[in-house]
Amino acid sequence: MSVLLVIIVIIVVLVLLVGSAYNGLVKAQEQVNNAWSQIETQLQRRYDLIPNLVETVKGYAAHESGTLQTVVAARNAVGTALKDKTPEAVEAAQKATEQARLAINAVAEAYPNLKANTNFLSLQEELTSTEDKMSYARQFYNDTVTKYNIKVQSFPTNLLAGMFGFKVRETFQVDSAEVRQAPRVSFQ
Amino acid sequence: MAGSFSSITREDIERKSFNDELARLNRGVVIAWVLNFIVLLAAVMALLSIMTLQDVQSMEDLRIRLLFNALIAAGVSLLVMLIIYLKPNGMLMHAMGGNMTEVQSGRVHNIVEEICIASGVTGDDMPNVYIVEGTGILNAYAVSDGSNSNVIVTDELVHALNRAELQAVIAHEMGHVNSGDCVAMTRLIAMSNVVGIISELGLDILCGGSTPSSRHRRRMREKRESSNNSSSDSKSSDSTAMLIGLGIVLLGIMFLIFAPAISLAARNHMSRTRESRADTYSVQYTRNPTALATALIRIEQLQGNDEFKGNDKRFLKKAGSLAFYAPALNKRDATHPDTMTRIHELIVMGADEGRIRVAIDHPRTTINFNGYDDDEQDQSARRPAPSRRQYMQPTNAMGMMGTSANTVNNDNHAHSADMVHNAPSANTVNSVHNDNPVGNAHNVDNARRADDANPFSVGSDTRAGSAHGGKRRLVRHRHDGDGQRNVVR
Repeated sequence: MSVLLVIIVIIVVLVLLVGSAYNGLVKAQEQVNNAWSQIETQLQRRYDLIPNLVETVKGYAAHESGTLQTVVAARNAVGTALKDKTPEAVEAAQKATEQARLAINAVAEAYPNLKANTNFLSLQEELTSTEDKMSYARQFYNDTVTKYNIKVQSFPTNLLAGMFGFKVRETFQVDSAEVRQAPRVSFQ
Repeated sequence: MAGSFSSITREDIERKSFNDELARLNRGVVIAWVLNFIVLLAAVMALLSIMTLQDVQSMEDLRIRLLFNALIAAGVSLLVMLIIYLKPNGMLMHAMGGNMTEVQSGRVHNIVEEICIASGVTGDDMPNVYIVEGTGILNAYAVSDGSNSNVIVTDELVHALNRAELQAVIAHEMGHVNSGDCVAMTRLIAMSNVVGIISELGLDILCGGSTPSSRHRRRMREKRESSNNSSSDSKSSDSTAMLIGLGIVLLGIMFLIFAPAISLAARNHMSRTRESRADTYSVQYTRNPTALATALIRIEQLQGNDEFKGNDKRFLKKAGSLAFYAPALNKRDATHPDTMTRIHELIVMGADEGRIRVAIDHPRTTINFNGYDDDEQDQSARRPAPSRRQYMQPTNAMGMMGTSANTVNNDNHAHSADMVHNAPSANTVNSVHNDNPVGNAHNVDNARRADDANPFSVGSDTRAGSAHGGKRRLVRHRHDGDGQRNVVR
């Protein structure tokens, strides 16, 4: 009788433990999905923003086709990222937009009228903000994915994760060597 | 696996000490609430007694009237205190004076959105953003009542800092909001200010222009006076005004007696590690300790200019412990760690000392209100930030809650801290952890508090002959020289 009771208690405790671990995994996964959706929101924002920017710059930089090409390429890259939904595509979009932003800044330097155009200035602010939101969204995504991955890989939740198909997610990587290097401290 | 277990215990340590501090703040709220309640009760009671006890017939009559008065007084005080407890935001929103507008777009709103993304705050939890114009103050603060939070930034600050610096400052304020200490702080300050604000208001009404007051309030009073002139001629309104005035004066006297006690109680419960924690949060969100450090330097330089000097006195007195930048008039009243101490902590977290030096050596002397302070140099300075963010990816976000890097797990860091501190006290670099010697010099997440030791004692005591003291003198010196040095950037 008492043996049966002990067995029942053990089973109940086990079920509770497994249940809470499973719920933890689901929660972590949901947080990762949320973080990713934030990235998508910003991608979409950027995708919508670029045509406006093109319209404003067009009048000033009609003959500078290089600039416009860069900007259009950036928009295409963003479109691809929206479709593919992979960190690599987002990375590529980020790089392309960065190029476009620099090109537009260069145009603005050359045309003081454009630099004084309030419409252009607010668009530039929006683009800068979207860029920052992108990198913050990536950063937050990486943070949540790291937490999730730790959960998926560490004992004993890894057993559950294997059973229910929770997979390790990919984070955004830093690729440039100079970034990996510790910044030098200079004393003047 | 071992790593994950050790990080869990570290999180637990952090969470525990943080909860302790929140509990202490909340105790302060309760004490301030009770004290204020008693003061209000006594004042209302006294006022009612003056009004009703002129024609007492018998002892029985007196007893009944006193009981009646006490009940009314208790009800009024309870109501007032309840409103202040539940809605403390409004009381502190206008602490700066000036013209306040809520913004829905533009740079500052964008930055708040960015930091919300960085901290995982979404939707309705996003704070409202306000810009105050015409204060002559360079500061920012956040208030929160639990469900609503507001971030308030002065126009001067917006135009004095570059984008990355503004991000760092707003991230600091969001750190207060997200860690939950903002609610307790807002309540505590609203509570400890309430008698003061009421009595000040009363003196304003009573004495007209004789009290020093902000432009905003003066305008309010003018409005009130003009409406009074048109409608008030009867004697009865005069006598009620007299009575109200009397009550207010009474409150003023009460305030004079009790204010020191209330503010002492409040100060004793304010945790001095909150600011450092918010700084750490700022670094966690923006991964840009340099920008926060240079923002501090810019504010200290500009606020020290003749143009802005002293403008923030009233504000700091009222809500200084909520402010981003609050220099202490004396050490005892310090609500924030000394600016250089904060900068040292940021250097330990990985701020670029070279750029901090440049900021100290080239003070900006004016604010360009027609544009933003984003010159090319700042742009280029901004660029490493996003990549750095990736680099400093913490594996353990809770670890960031550590106030200062009491424990630094890396030689490099301890070294760079040494260069400034010269004599690293047990307080700053408590121990050097070498179990992670790989080149992640900027993995700040391992910074943690080892115990409850107050890390701020480091900056405030002047260690003779330390490089630290020397550097601080340098800042002061630049300050004094602001007028003559017209470095054009």
